[in-house]
Amino acid sequence: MHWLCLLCCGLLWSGAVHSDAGPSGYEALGAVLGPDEIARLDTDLAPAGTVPEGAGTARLGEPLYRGRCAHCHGPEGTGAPFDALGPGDAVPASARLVGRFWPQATTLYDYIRRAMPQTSPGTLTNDEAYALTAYVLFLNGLVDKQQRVDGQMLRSLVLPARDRFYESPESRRLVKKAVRNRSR
Amino acid sequence: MPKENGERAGEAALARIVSGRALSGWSQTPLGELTGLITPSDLHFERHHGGIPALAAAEHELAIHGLVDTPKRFDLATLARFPAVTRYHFIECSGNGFASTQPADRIPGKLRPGDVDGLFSHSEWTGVRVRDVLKAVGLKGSARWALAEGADSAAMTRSIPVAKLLDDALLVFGQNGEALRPAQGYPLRLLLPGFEGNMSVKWLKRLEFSDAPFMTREETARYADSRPDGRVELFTFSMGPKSLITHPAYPRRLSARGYQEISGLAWSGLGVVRKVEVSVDGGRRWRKARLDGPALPRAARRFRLGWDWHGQPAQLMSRATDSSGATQPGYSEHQQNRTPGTLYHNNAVRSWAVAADGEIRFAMTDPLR
Repeated sequence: MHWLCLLCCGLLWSGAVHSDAGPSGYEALGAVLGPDEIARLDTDLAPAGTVPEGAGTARLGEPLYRGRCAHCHGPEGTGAPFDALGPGDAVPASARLVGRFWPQATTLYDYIRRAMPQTSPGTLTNDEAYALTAYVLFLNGLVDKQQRVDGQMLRSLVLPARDRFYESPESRRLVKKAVRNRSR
Repeated sequence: MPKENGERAGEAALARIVSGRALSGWSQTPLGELTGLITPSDLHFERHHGGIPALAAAEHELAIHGLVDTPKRFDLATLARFPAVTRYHFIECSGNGFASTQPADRIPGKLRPGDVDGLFSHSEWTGVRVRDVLKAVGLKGSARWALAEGADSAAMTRSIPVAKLLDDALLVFGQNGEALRPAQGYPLRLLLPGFEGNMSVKWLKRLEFSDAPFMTREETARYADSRPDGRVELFTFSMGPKSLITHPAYPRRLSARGYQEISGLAWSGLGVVRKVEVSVDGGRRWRKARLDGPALPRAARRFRLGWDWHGQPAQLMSRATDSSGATQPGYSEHQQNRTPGTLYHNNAVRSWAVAADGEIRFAMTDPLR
């Protein structure tokens, strides 16, 4: 056989192996995540992306608050030993309250669901986290006790401080850079 | 008689400066006791928002999902199969310098270098590039941001721009020649060179890609910069150029007149430290210090300058300039753009007052020029 034929056969053979085995570099590494696994991990609530199911009201949140939160945030939510959650005579003007400083209501559910209570984080159900979110909004005078709070409601709720917040020039530059890189 | 723990006579074991706060606490590097460039791993500062978790490396996984073609999970053995790199980078807490972020006349003089800026450390890091790992999931063109989530009880989360992840971001498992310490994110940490430390999420377990930032509690209600006009700037990532004289400094005192060496550390999250100037007269005259150590981006260098002390009062200052052209502001200039009490990103010129008797005190004094 001519050496050129050998070369051609070799190329064809290696091509066939490649297409059977998929990518041969480190692109192939890692185990595929199924939808159930993603649903278990993806507990966050953000302005975009999936919305955790569930809902609650401040009326439902109040007894939960007394049982699981008041020992850190105070019986009236005015703080001590940890952060104040709502206004009060003893709460300093500089306190970064939800109704005074926070730009985004989804953040409240997101943080409560994943990081609270601090001594047993991740143990609240979605409904409990929505109810506690509603209660903190109630403490800040942003909802009444009966109002249903869920993920979509939190996305559309405009907090008083929202327009004070702006994205840094550095951040805007990096987002533009990503657009340029990805469109190449 | 030799001590049982192996210390030699006259030597005290070095330790981090611990805040003593429960649950959400920190400890600082004793910068005044260190030589050279590298922070020993056990002296690396640490900041956590809900304690330090005890994680089993064999069970730990990183999940990557959201705007990707193929969502995947990676155990540590799989991550270790990607091409590894070793890099030198500092990590600095956004709030470093908090003890000096108040009206200048209220700043205590008896601060050691580690009290002033010990939320800064410098290490050799080993890991794999995020951009290589992202090739295994196929990032979608619409992805702009990723949520990085830790496996700690605070579920520490930050939104990270995709452009940074595709640039120099690393997934690190090694520090100074050994595995990460638990306080530094064992078994896996995101490392974003030059960015404020809390974004280098420790105990990393998840990256979710999106077209918008996630607006987490830490990046909105906490690590955001309040401006004097009442507005609040989100996503202030890079730590600017900064330097600190660590020798001589409180609690040491100058014991003899004549020749001494002034030395300290300089770094910048914006590039390479190109120049450090030192003044011994409160900023009237500046001299260029010698820069020791390699010129690496987003890494620390040590600066050194010889000084003849004649037994007169002196005001020592240092000022770093980096490859982006940025230089350290004076304290008043820095504070002009901050609401009082906003303590993040304080890279103003630091100074040490030397008295005629050799006693040294920390101060935030504006350079005269």
